[in-house]
This record gives sequence, C-alpha cells and structure tokens, in this order.
Amino acid sequence: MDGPTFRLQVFLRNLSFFRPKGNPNLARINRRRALFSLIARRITILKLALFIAGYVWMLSIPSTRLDRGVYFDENALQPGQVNTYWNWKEVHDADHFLEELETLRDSNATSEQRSQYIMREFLKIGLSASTQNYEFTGLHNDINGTNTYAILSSPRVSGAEATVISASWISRMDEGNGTLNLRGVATVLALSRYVKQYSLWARDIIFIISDGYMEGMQAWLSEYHGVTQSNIRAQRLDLSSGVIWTALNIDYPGHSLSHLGIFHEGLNGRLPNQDLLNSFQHISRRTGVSVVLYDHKDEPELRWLPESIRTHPEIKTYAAQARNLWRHVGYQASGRGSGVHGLFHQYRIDAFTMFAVPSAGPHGFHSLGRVIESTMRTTNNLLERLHASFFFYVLTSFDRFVKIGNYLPSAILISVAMMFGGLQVWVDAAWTQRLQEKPQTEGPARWIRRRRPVLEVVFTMLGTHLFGAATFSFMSSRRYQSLSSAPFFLCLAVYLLPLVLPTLLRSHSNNSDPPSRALVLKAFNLCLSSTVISIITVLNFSLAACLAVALGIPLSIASPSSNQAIRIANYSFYVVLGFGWVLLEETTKQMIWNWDVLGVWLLPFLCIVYFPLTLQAALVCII
Amino acid sequence: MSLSAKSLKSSSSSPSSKSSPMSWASFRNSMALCIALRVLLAFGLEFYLSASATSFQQPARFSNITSDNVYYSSSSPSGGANSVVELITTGPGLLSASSPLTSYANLKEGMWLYRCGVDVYADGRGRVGVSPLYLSFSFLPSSLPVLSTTEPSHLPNIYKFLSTLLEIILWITPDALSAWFLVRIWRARTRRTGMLSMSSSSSTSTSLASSSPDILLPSLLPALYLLSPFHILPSLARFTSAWENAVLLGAVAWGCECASSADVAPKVDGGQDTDSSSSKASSPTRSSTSDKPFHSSAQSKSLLLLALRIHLSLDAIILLPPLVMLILAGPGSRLMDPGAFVLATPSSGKQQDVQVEAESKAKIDSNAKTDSGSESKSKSNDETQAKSQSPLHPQTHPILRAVFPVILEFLVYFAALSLVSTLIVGHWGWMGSTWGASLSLPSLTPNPGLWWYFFTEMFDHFRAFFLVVFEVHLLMYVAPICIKFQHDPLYALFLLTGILATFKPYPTLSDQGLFLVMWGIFGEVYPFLRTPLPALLTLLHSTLLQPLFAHLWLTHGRGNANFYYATTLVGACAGGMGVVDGVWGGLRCALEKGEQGKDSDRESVDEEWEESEVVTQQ
Repeated sequence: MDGPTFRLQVFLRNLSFFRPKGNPNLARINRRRALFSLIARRITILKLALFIAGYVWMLSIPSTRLDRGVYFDENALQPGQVNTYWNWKEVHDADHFLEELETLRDSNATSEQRSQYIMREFLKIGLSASTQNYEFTGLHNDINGTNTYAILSSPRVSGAEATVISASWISRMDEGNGTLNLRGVATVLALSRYVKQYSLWARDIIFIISDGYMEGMQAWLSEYHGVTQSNIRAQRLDLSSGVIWTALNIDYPGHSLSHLGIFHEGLNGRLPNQDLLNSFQHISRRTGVSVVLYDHKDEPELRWLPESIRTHPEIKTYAAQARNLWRHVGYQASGRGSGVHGLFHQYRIDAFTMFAVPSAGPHGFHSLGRVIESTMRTTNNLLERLHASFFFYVLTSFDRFVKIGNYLPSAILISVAMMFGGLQVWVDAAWTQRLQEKPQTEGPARWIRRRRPVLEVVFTMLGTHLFGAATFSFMSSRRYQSLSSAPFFLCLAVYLLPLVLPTLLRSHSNNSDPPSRALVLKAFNLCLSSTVISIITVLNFSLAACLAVALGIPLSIASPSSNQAIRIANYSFYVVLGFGWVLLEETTKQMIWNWDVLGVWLLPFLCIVYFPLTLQAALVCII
Repeated sequence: MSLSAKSLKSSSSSPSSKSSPMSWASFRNSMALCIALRVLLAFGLEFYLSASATSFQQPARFSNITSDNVYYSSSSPSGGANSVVELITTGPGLLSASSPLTSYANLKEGMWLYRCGVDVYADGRGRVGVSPLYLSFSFLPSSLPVLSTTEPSHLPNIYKFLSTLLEIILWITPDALSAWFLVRIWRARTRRTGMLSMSSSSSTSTSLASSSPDILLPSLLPALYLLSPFHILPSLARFTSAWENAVLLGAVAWGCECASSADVAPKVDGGQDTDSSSSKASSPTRSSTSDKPFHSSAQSKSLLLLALRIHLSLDAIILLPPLVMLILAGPGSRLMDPGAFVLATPSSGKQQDVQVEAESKAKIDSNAKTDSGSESKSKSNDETQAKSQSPLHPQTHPILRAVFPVILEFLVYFAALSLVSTLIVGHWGWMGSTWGASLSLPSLTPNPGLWWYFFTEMFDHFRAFFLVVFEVHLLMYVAPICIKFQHDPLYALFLLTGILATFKPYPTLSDQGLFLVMWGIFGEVYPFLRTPLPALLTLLHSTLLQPLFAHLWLTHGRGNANFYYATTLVGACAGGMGVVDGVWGGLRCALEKGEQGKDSDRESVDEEWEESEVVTQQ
C-alpha cells in the first residue's frame, strides 16, 4: 500500500474517532444535557463543597499564607526622610498645657470654659481660632458641647487643601466611656505652637479639639462640609479652610506610652487609604516607638492549648492575627468605627487614630511629637489625594495585610452556594410527583410540572420587609426609648404577628398547594440573601462575613415539616436568630445611639434587610 | 401595592372573565391607585427634602474649589440635596442622569439660553443635546410656573409650590400615558390573537393562545409600569426619557390599533365590549376607516409619534421597520404558527391574505438590501398570485405597494418635524448636536451603557472607525429579527427595544424599564423561556451594584471606573440574556404547537405550567 495514502487514511480514521457519530446537533444537545444532569445530580455535593470552602477560607484569613507585608504605593509620600525638630522645649510646652488642663479638670470646668481656655491658648500662639457650640435634638437630646478649632494658614500656597490634627476630649479608652484625653489635647496644643514656627507647610493645618467622644467631631465635620443632619443644631463655623485630605487623631489617655496603636476603621465599614497607615507605622518604628494594631501589645494567651502547640510560632502568629481580625470585624461590622477618625471617612478624608497604649513607659510626649511631626511632613508631601494604594484590605497585623482577592472569595463562595441552593429549590418547586391514579402502568415515579405561586411569594417577601421597616420606625421613635419594657413587647409582637400570615394566605388562595409556596419562598429567600451578601462584601466585608455565617447554613436548611411542634420550634429558631439581638439591651441602645447621632446604618440594615430575610426562612417552616 | 395585589388575586380567581367590564374596572382602579401612589411619593420626597433644606444653611461650600471635590455635597446620606432632582442625579450615584439627551439640567439650560436669545447649537457640537422641539416650550411665557428657568430663590413660596406641583404632574403624566398605551397594546394583541385563532380554526392552538393573555390582567400592567423603580426614578429626576417612552408606546399602541380596528371590532367583540369600547379612543376611527385601513388616523398618529420619537433621539430609527410591519400586519400573536409576512386586510371574513417574504418588505430598510434577492425568486409562485390579484399596478409587489405610502407618510412627518425644528432654531445646526450626539458620542460621562468606557480608553485615531462599528452593530439586529419574526412584528419590535436598551449609546433607566415592562404583553412565550430567573437575578445584581459602585468611585474615592464599568457589563449581560431568551421563547412557541397535537395529555399540564410561568415573570 502506498505510504502517504495509508497515513492519510489512518489520520482520517483518527479524526472520525473524535467526531461523534450521527447528527452533530443531536450529539451537541445530548452532550449538553449530560453535562447539566451531571451538575444537577451533584448539586448538593457542590453546594456543600462551596460552603465548606467558604468557611474554611474565612477561618484561614488570619493565617500567614494569605497575607503579605505592607508596602508603599504612593512615591510622593517619602516617609521618614526628614529631620524632625520637635525637642524637649516642645515637650515642656506640652507639660505646661497638660498642667493647666488638669487644673481645669479638677475644677470641674464646663465644656464652655474648657473651650474658652483652649481658644485663648490658640489665639496666644497666633492662630485664628474659634469655638462651635452644638446640640443634638433627636432621640438623644441631652448631648451638647463646644468644639474648639484653630487654623494655621498655609505659608506656601493658597490653602485649597488642609490637614487636620485633632484630639477629642474623651479618649477612646474602653470605647469612649469617660477617660479624658488630656495628654492628647496637650499634644495638639503644643504641636500647634510648634508648627507655627515653620514655613514648610504646603497646606492649611486645622487643629480641632472636639468635645465629647464622637459627637463633637460629627457636629463639626457636618457643619464644615455644609451637610445637614436634621438632628444637629450647631453653630456655623466662623473660619473655614480648604478640602481636607488627611486627618490624624491623637489619643493619649495614659501617663506614658509603650506602643502606638493604629485604629483605622471608619463609620459604616469604611477604611482609609492604606498608604497613610503604612507611612505612620514606618515612621514610628524608625523613630523608635513600637507599633501595634489596636491596643494588643501582649500576645494572646492560649492557656487551654497544650504547651507544645501553644509555643509553636505558626500557631502563635495565627492566634495574634486572629485576635486582630476579630477586633476588626467587631468594629467594621458594627459600622461604628473604632474612634473619632472614623467620622472623617464619610467625607472622603483619610484618617486614623494614633493611640498611645497606656503603660509605665518608656515613651512620652517627646517620641509622640516626633512621630506626629514626621507623619505630618509626609502627608505634606502629597501632591494629590491618596489614591494609589489599597482601600480594600484587612490588616492582620500592623505590617501585614490581606489583599481583597485573598479575603473576598470566602464570603462570595458562601453566597454562591446559597444562590445554587436557591436555584435548585426553584427548579424543585416546579415538579411534583404525580399521585398514583393509574397504578403500576408507568415507571416508579412520574414527575409532573406544577404551578409556582410567584406573586404571592413576592408580596409575602415585600410584606416582611415592610414589617421590618415598621419595626425600625418603632425602634427609632421616642416611645421605644421611654418604655423600659418595649423590647419585650416588640419581640412578642414580632414573634406572634407573622404567625397570622399562613392562615391569611390559606384563606386567600385555595388552588396552590402549600409545599410549593414554601419552596418558592425558600428559593427566593436564598437568592435574595445571596445577592445581599455578595453586594455587601465590597461595602463592608466584615458585615458580609457575619451575614454569611449567620444566614448561610441556616437559611439553606429551612424546610417545612409535618410535625406541628417541630414547625414551631423551627419558626422560633429563625425568629430568635433574626431578632434576638433586641433583647440585648445595651447593644440595642448603642445601635440606636449610633443611628441617631452618627447615622450608622447597622440598625436599619438589621431591621429592614437582615431580620426580614430570617423571617422569610421562618415562614418557610410554617407556611 | 398590597391593594393592587388583592385586586389581582381576586381577578385571577375568575379566569373566565375575558376583557369584561370587570377587568376593565379593575384596570382603572389599579391605574388610579398607582398614579395616586406615584403622586404621593413624589410629593412626599419633594416636601421631605424641602423641609430638611430649611435647616440647610450653607450649600456645599467647597464644591468649586478643586475638581475632585465636586461630589462633596452628596457625601452624606441625609443631605446636601435640596431637590429631588439633585438627590437622584447626584445622591445615590445614579449616573443615568448624565445622558445629555435626556437630562433635566440640559433641558433647563437649553431653555434658559434660548430665552436669553443665545444660539443653543452655535458651536456645532453644542453642550446641550436637547432636541429643538423641547426648546419650543420656551415660547411659553417665562412667568409660567412650569419649566421656569428663573432662579427659585427670588420667587414667592406659592409660586414655588405651584411650580413643583405642575412639574410633578408633568412628569407623572407620561408614565400614566405609557401605562395606558401598554394596556391598549395588550388589548389589541389579545383581541387580534383571538380573532386569528378563531379564523384559523385549529382548536389546539386556540386553547393555548387565548388562555394565556387572560392571566396577565390589565390591572397588573399599569402597576408594573407605574411602580417599577426603572420608571419612578427617571420621572422623579425629570428626565425627558419618561416622555420618550410615552411617545414610543403611543406609536406602538396606535400602530396596533390601525390594523386591528378594521377587522376585529365588529366581529369578535361586538357584544361584550360595549362598556370598554366607549372609553377607547379608537372607536370613532373604526367606522370612518373601515374602507381604507392603511390610511386611518390611527396610522397617522402612530407614524407621527414615531417620527417624533426618532426626532428626539435618533436610535429609535431601528424600530421603524418593525413598526411599519406592525401597521401593515397587525399586532396578533402568530408566534404559535410562524409563516411569511401577512398583510392584514380590511375584511376579515374573506381572509385574502397575501403572503410574501419579508425580504422584499425589508427593502425599505436600507440594512437588508443585500439579502433581498435570493429568496424572493423561490416563491415566485406567490408573487404571480399576488400580481394577478392586483390589476391596477401589475409591476409592483403588493407589499411594496402597501409599504410605500406608509414610509412616505412617515417621511413627510419627519421632514415636517425637522422643518419645525429648523424654524425654532433658525438654522440647521441643531442636527449635529442632537442627532449627532448619538452618532459621534461627544460626551463620555459615565452612564449605564457600554459605549463610554470603550471610547474613553480608545486612541483618537480609532475613534471614527469604532463609532461606525458600534453604530452598525446596533443596526445589525434589525434585519434578522424582522425577518425571523416577520409573522409577529410586535414581538420583533419588543426584541429590538431590548437591543436598544442594551446597546444604545446613551441608555437610561427608562430604556431598560421599557424592555422589562413590555414582557408583560407576551404571556404566551413564558413557558418556553429558559433562564428567566437567572436573567432577573443578574439584572437585580447589576441594578443594585451600579449605584453602589458609582457611589464608591465618585463619592468615597475608593473604587474606580472599572468597578462601575464591570457592573454595567453585568447589566448588559442581563439585557443580552433577556433578548436571547426572548428570541428563544418566541421561536420555541412554534415547536410546541406541533407537539401539542400529538400529546393531548400534556396540554393541560402545559397550560398549568404556563400559568405559573406567567406569574413567574412578574
């Protein structure tokens, strides 16, 4: 046989091996069908795998495998490249201011007197200074005070931009429960006197001593930016400056400090540009002050672990980073932020708090001043707003962080699993086993299509969200505040009212069978929750992760039961899951305060989005 | 909301009532309820904001200091904006406001300049893409509280109140009209379908075709239109796109009626439609035009409105072929038995339908010129038949004979409108900045469409080429869809609406909303859709993410343009899924009919199934 011809024939035979026999279109359809059925048969396993992957990923975020060291993205910053001039003379100034402030404190001076004193000092230094009275007129109408601020006009340029150095009167110690930030205020005063002597500032510097913990700064900032918050009555600002780019908030509650802590979470889960934090920690370490994330200066104790595991370096790091992460989730998910700096973020100002971790030593005004001066010089170098580096990150340690690509998928995987579950239930809801009218004529199970009552379910869901909105409007009203037993009544109402719905639905439509309705409700509920989770991830990852944990598995296993007792138990479980937090009185009070004063949307979110989602799952059980 | 649901439920429990006075009354109730809700909403927002604006002392102090600070005034959820328009256009970052053709700010600016005697279109590419027809409102005395361009702070309170009131009414009217037109389209289609299936006397298709439209009752359609956020937001922000939708739907509604009014009314609905026909606008035209259906006043209205719509923004030109086909063939649902393009004829009893390819029809459409030759030869048999039927013009094709007057009429209207515009402006320069805006894409401000990002990224020397590519891409769909759905031009028009909403240069929320709402008319395809839920979920994701990412990018400065663009891509995917599913469902319908004859057992099941799917879509 001729060589080439033979080879050609072999080649063609091989080709036809790859080509399906018969109609190619049919083969394509069959292939697709086989693929779909392959996925459909394994959807439960797939779902489970996604859930497990998501949760395991979430648990491994604190590990050193996912994070990396921080680095600078903005070359203009040039951190730590300058000689600092802050010296013992300035420390002496600060001590002097501190003495006078302590006198004021001991004489129980009103905030008016305090602010007058601070303003006088600013004026003496030669800055233009003023005060601002404010009071809140909403639910918490007992909040009032006086802010003091001074503006150093930029010696070099027209002052279209500004930097803020601030200290609140009350320190963030124990989440602002009353420790005074006297040394922080003294630092700001000494600093203002100090920077006046230099002509190198490329932007205005605004010094703010805000009254109270968060509320004073909220009033000042909203007035500065001309934004109305309907429940603040604040004096107009006499002095104004340019756009604020960065803000440093100084918190020095103790006698001395051993570490400087970084607090960076803002209101509603916003974070500042990471370059700012990076340059601060870089400068601080170059100056000789150790930096920690938050106030975690000791390693976490793991007494319950055996000695050999406890001392393993990997475990130790994991534990320390997990503690940081836990703190971060707490601040970010609650939306309250971790301090006064958080208020700046809502106006697109990068800000953080340097917290002087109280200790017996070794540092004090001297080191702190140098760090602040150098940080100010760094931000002074900026030619435009911080924009390069990361806005989406999770700090696991002061010098390590997790990129968005390494933490976001954990919540997204869970949300995808929920979406798959929802679509699966949606398909299931369309089929029902035909009743055995004609016994043993057909195969074992004949499936027929059935009606999916979509409109009823959509209106039910809308109803739950409206119910949530009504709950929210009640919770944010004065009546709720004044009635001490209100939470219990509210819980009772929330528990009992939805029970009416099944009977309502039953009387209204008699043609659709309940299981199909429950299935459709479950499908939509899962799809909606999945959408909510995946959308929240970019806004507030911690909240999304909490939602994924709270809703992921529970909503997926919601199912109606024939046993009355189990149904009620299931229903109660979901209602408690969704609304149990109301009984934690302190938490609720804090949330209402945050909403009323700072505009943190956790409370409306919980009431209008989260609770209705669980309520829908609860209704799946009893409908 | 809940009330309309109840009315829906109560009416859906009595499935046998077809276009009875009861359903008509429920339509009226639901319409009134929705309009009331809308007015309440608009007023509530307007006065809530004006109340909070009284304590508002200092409007965004720094808004003009540096460029990256422009979005300051909107950075807080509670404030800054002292009008609804401002709140929507800047507040939640709804960038759909930025379409230069439909934005309220541009409209006002144009009117202001016009009143001042400044030539609005002077530099050829004009900042203001407002159609000169809108400028004709400037002839209203400027003291009138509607669309006044006077500074509001110098005016008395009662004047401001009146102005707000009138503007709210002026921007709810188009939505109400649209809803009303939508119901009329639906009715025309239902009746026509009933008539068709009756005449074709195939019992199986009758049961399917006539049962499906009952489920979507007219009470739901207005609610669907008036309460959808896709229409509420543009109307609150006073985009002119609300009016454009109304004009388009009006054109379609009259287009449906000019064919259906001739043959349907006396025969099918004579008895039971007494109540509704009195309230219908088309009833007087019926008697007067029964001899000459193609020159009825409904047709003129339809063409005039379409000319107006195309005049306002040029993209709608791709809707011209299906609309002409609709005028000629009628709105009935022939998805079940597809065939060649059929002219509707005045006397329904004789059924002298003339079948010809749509290719020859598509000659009027310049895009389809190339394919016209091949197939028309193959059916020369039909043509000879047709020729024998038309002794007056032995040379011309019957369809062409029908098409030419329609096109001619359209061109006359279009020319007249252009002339009016030129008279208003004083020169021809307006064409460049209004029609030219959709052709040359002068403004690249972010919007929900796909164009702006491409053209921001593009090197200038490729710009002209890609402009042509993008334009042709938009035109490309017209011929295939019109040919494939030649048996059902209304469906073709609906699909093209979807294409327009997804791919046009300056899409707005209203365009997407229009496509979404028009699904309500086509109940018969729901059972054959493949991915309705995923498409809806994709749409939900993109609709939620768009304002969010715009907010992150522009207000917080955290994300960047890519974030927002990614969501618009997701939105385009959702639109694409919708269109593809529509095409699939529309073609799949025909197959189902064949299968149904074989398996009578399945029929009942399928009907049930279909019912559920109809509800699904809502």
